[in-house]
Amino acid sequence: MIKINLENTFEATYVSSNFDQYIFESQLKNNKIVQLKVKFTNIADSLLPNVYNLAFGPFDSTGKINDSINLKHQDSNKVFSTIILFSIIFLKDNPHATIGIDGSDDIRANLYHRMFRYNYKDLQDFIVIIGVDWYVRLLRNGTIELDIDGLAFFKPKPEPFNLQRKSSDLYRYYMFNLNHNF
Amino acid sequence: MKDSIQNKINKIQEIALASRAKKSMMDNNIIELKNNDNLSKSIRNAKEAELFFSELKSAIDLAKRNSTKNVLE
Repeated sequence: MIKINLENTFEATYVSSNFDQYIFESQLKNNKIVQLKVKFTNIADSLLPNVYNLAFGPFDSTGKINDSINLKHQDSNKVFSTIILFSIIFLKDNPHATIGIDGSDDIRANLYHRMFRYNYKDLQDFIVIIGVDWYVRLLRNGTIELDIDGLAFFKPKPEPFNLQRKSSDLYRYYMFNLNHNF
Repeated sequence: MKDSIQNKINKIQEIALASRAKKSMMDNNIIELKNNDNLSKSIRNAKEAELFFSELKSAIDLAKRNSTKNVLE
């Protein structure tokens, strides 16, 4: 289980001037040191101008973030505490922004769900966590609304993160923004 | 705890200033995300985006009220 402690984080070796990119180092279980990049990206040409995607991971061979790799960190708690701290800093600099995490990857969704659930009481002073479910509209003729490809058309419905929902009932998408009480 | 977090934030702001020289290097690594995440794909037009943001705002307000209530309890 990931335990977030914002007082125990890695030092950043690089921070972009607009606080949307960070680099820090973590030691893996095989003792190798890996550079990790955290980046908040506004989705290009989107109807969601204030939603920023959170990506993190090591650099791949082309210098981009490899956010699908599964690394075994010596201190995963510290890695995720660092990512949450950087997220808070980004949100403080962009108070109208909301950070989005796509839960299409079950492993990542499960990890974030359990992390938010387990640390909810500590995190709620700093951030507001939202879960998004997908719903399909039932039409009057008994069929469901379809998209242009003839597949079920899902609509996103956000709600405050429900602590009672276990990891067997994941949200499809996770969002968080700053709790302005902080 | 909040004071110590604020100190960490101040320190990172200092690092951001010191990191400016590395900016050109980082610019080469910018990832351009297209609107292919699940949330973007499910919102087809400005009206649906407006509805989503309205629901998101309500959810955020409710979550904030819940967090204040939890603190008071």
